[in-house]
Amino acid sequence: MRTDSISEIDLALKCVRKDQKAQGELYTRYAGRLYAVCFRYIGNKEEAQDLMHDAMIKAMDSIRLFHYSGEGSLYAWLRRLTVNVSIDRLREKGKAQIVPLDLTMEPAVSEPQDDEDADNIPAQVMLDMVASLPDVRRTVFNMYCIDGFSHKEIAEAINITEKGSASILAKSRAQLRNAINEYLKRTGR
Amino acid sequence: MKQFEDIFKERLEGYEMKLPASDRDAFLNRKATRERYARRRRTYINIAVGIPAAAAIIMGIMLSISLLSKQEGAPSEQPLIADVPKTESPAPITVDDADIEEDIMASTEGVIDDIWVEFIDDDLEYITREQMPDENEVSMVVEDAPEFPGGTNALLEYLRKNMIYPDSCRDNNIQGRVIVTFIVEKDGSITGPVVVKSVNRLFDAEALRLVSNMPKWKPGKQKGEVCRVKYSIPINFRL
Repeated sequence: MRTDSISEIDLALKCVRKDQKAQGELYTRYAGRLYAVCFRYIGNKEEAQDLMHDAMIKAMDSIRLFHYSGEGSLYAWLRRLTVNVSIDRLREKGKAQIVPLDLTMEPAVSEPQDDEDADNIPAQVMLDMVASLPDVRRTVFNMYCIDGFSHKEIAEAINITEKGSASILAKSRAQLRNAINEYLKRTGR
Repeated sequence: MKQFEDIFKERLEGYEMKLPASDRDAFLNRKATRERYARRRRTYINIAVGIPAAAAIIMGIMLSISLLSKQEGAPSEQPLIADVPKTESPAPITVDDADIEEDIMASTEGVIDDIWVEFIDDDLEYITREQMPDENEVSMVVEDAPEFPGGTNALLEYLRKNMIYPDSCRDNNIQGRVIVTFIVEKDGSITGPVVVKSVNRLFDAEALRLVSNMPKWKPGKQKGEVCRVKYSIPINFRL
């Protein structure tokens, strides 16, 4: 990382004091990553940008609540906050509440298969794949697979049942797997 | 053996997406606007009791009606006219950059400032009342304001959860703030909801629906007795 500039903890402390320069630096360091988080959740670039701004402003307002626990903890905190802001936004829009009616049990557990081949996919393509999932599937996939929420937490956050969450996850996995296969075929790998 | 979601997790967790170069300025700009807005908001709260013309007229009419009907019955008891509560939020309605946070983050501040009724200054004086046609009077200012079950945050939560954003407004990116007044009856039920600040028919209808379907409130009290209280809440439609 940037060893030449000020340390995470100093940056955070300066931000607590509302130091404009430090706030600018906070933006410079983290905006891109938080933007990716927002995009992953909201699935649309303009909106993600707007949401990232919200999250950033919220972070600057509440940075005094941040507890430093080692290098990287600032990002972890910002990311968590951004995820929460994103989920709030989804909920606000009522998007995440629309539970798909097709809750019929598809093969919920697909055979575990070797997905080593997915390693060749560029991160941006992965991100786009996730972003293009339907709202609910995207939310569940993000929360469960990437941000490590449990089905219980997901159920509470977006107002579905735990079973529903698991079944939605299975569908999002299946859909992503298809997207991966397609991509690999298209690029001839 | 590796499953693709692990790979996704690994690669996406710290992934950085490129932002347009203009974004930094846009952000700083927005932050500055917000800070200005927050400051302005505070000053408004201090002088909270503005007199928007529309409200004054409506109140005036209502009071004169009540005065008329009173004069026949009990002429001695002259109602004092309180400062007219504000209906118009000082906040600009075109709040694109001004703060989703205020609304999303359940700023109790945001809503409490805008709920009028209650007191003038800090002493909980019974200042004005308005006579209804029959025996049941409606207080405008009471000692114990009625309360949504669970408090203001619960009210916000209720509105957020139950709001059905009209599709055509969503598609056309229409936002706005509707203010609804209603009466909290002695038993906590809601009657007579009226839109006092309208945006469009769809928003008004949805605001009325939300207000009418609210669970029973904790009624307001005056000198220890439950009473009917007129209440007003702003309902924000934000995309």
